[in-house]
Amino acid sequence: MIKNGNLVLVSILVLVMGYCLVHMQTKENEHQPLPSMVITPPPPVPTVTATPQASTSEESQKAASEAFDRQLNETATQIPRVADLRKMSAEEAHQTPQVLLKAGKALGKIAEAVAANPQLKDQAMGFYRECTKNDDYPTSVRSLCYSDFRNLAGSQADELLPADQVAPNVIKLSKTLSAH
Amino acid sequence: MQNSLKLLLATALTASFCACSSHSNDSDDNSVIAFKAPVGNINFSYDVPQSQRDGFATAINSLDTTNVTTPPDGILSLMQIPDMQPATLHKWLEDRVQYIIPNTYQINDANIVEVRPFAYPNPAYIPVVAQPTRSVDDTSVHLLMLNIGSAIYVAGKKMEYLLGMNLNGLGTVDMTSPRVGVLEIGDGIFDSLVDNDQATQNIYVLGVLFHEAHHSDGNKSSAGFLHAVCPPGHDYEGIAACDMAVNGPYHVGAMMMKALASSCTDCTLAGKQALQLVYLDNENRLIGNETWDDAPEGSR
Repeated sequence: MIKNGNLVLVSILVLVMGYCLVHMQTKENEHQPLPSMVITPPPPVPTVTATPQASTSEESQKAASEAFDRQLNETATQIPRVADLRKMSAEEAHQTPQVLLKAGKALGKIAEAVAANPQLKDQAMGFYRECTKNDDYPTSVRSLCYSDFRNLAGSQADELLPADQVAPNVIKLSKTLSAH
Repeated sequence: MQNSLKLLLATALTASFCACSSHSNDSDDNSVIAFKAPVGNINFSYDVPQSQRDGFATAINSLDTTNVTTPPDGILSLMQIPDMQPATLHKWLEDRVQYIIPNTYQINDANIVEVRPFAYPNPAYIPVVAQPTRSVDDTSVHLLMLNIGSAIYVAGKKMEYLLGMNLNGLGTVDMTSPRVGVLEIGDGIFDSLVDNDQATQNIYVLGVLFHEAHHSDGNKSSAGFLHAVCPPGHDYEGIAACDMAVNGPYHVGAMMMKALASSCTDCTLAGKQALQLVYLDNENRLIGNETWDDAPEGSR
């Protein structure tokens, strides 16, 4: 039989609290996009009517571009804010919270969309640039966006998004991705 | 003194609430089966839902097809392993995890028993549990994984009494060391990280598992590798969700995900992006440059 049973249980429960409970929040935390995160559609491409085939192709690309804009805007609403993370309990925050996993899923779909249709690259770069610079977003998200931006920009990366426009901790963290 | 007692009780009640609230998420398969075969040397209590056991086994067994030919710098010394061969990784886990129990496990007089007075090693050293500096509005939560064995060990050490855990179908397990290795799991860990990508899901589960397993390491003040409160300005400011130790659970979990993802040929592009975000989230939690002694305390 347990002596001082209450003390035993309280001790254990306190330790468990400070330890390693891994929970995920079930409450959805969705956001409206910040003005800076609303992706402006590119200027309309002049209509070419030389052949029906070309027209169809351009219409198709325009539709893809518009759909991608919607996807980018939707993704922006799914990225949690730092303020959201700081409201969490230690149990919720102990492992990557569900809201961040959901954002990762959405960011993954963006990467897939660009890989499937390289003509969406400029739109994606615009999204990644704003995401990198948005200090309401978690450092992890901004670092991933910065990494993705640089991957798409290639040799023009430093010119298109100079390092002095990016928070040092974002650059530092993103570098750990490529470090081997 | 009164306030301290109230705080203890309030904390305990919060913990109880968290455990209870997660029960409602276990409804897909609560059937108790007569026997659950171990995965390697890791045993399941009989009340672990079959779906969770299967998910866990799938992730663990995926290590068999791991082929990390060029491990990331520092990971071998971090984990004190000679290579990243499947057998090596299995052994690393099985040295730290022996029992898997469900998140429905109740901390009560029936399940936690005092076995006998016990001479713990390093009795003068009790790890300090970091207290959050922010108050939180704890809402409904969904359990992923918990190294409850280490917590029970430290509780027993504080009381100078050996505690035992009654595990359904497995008898009473004496908590003589954090290395006895008892982990709780819940459905949350098996929620799909990305759609139709089991390879990515396995790596995610393994990253969390390696993290939790590392809580079975350490001795004296490093026993259990407890987390530190994140500093002002950090994404998780005021929450005990960071590590002072560069060889702490966050870095271990992150590096394992990175290593496994780098060699994953079946992972989708979306899956790798999701894993990269989890990696960055974990890596961002390293706030110190200490190296803690990871030799285990006691023996199992």
